Amino acid sequence: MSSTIIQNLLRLFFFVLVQAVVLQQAKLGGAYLNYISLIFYPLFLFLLPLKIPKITLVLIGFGVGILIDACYNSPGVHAAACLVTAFIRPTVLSVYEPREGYNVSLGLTIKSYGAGWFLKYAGTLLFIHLLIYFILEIFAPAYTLEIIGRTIATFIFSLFLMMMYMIIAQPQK
Amino acid sequence: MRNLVLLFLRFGHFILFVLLELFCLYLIVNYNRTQREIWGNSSNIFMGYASEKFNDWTNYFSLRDKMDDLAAENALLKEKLINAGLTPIPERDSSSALNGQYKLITAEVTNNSTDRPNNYIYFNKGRKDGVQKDMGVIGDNGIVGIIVKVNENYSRANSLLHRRSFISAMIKRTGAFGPLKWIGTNPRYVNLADIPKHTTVQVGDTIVTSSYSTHFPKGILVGVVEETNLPSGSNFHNIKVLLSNDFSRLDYVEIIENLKQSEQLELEREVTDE
Repeated sequence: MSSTIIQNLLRLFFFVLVQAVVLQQAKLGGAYLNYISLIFYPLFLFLLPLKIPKITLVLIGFGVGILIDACYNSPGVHAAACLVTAFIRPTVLSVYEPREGYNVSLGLTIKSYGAGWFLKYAGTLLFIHLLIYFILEIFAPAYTLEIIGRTIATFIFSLFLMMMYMIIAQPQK
Repeated sequence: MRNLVLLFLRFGHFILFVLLELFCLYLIVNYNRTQREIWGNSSNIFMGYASEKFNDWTNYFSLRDKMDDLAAENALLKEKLINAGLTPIPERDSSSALNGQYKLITAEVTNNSTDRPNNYIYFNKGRKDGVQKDMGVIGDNGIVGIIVKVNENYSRANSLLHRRSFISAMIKRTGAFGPLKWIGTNPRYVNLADIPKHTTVQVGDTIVTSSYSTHFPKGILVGVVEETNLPSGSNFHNIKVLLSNDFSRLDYVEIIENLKQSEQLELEREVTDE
């Protein structure tokens, strides 16, 4: 049990570091500078253990979001998106529950349930996360098209990055 | 208490989520420059819009009071017109003798019918407001009826659409007069009886109240002649009058107090006694 906590703490540290130091500086898209962001850290929320209490999940989501906001200097924006992600994670999990159910001893990874399942699960959560994030980041209904465009562009690249990580690092839990 | 704990156990994460989300929104609009500016502008626009809508809404609720005020003011103006000898429909010889003879009391119709042989109209003004038996009632477009019963706060009038209401009216053009009679079918029409055949009647002639009525000032609009014929062997025209008032849509009326009515009636009674 405590090994799970330590492992997740280490992962949190690593993800926040990668997000803040590397991905925050990465400018993709050439002329559309800043149009595409790389949002990788929500993977931490996706990989949290299955049986985590909902209320703890919400608190962790808020904490992670605030941590990222501190790096991005955008108080509340990431935290609000993370809260939504953490709040709907149990619902999304129950929607994509495999026929034989979840195995409590396994992590929510490609190795446990397959790449297809993970793509659906992470894709749904990430898309909602990014949509909320860009709505709050841009914050103007006049830029609805930009909100949608940036959400989709960022979604594709970020999900690709997450899948790469999952395939290369092969986390067990 | 136990229920409260259970509720929190079940929905605690949701409550926490909402609270933290609100906190985040607070952070966003207070500590991010762009979002704060957008928020400030938008909320100004929104608040302006909302307060405008709210004003419209409250205005709507105060319409009733305003309507009462307007009706009272209308009554006052009509009273002045009538007393100055300028009835809403000016007569041929407007005498200043009417000065101060008539007083108007605004009232709202509380109950009304037009589909019975004898129709009554009820008003929300009674003895307390100065309403008395035998006062005339006029609406925005002409005469309505005569008060027949009064209690402390309410009064009842025989509508013009009542078989026993004989209000004296005249043809404005010729001055020929006769009682208005309702035949008891169509609430849009009454008959003007007793117009002798030697006078001319034309379709479109205006019918107004005559000065022989103690209930109404002279010259209040009743309606226009819609149809007229002279039955063979009869000495009187058969005149169908289209009422100017739509009795099915009465709301505010004025009750006319004739301050000299008792004097007038006293004299008339003396004649019948002799």
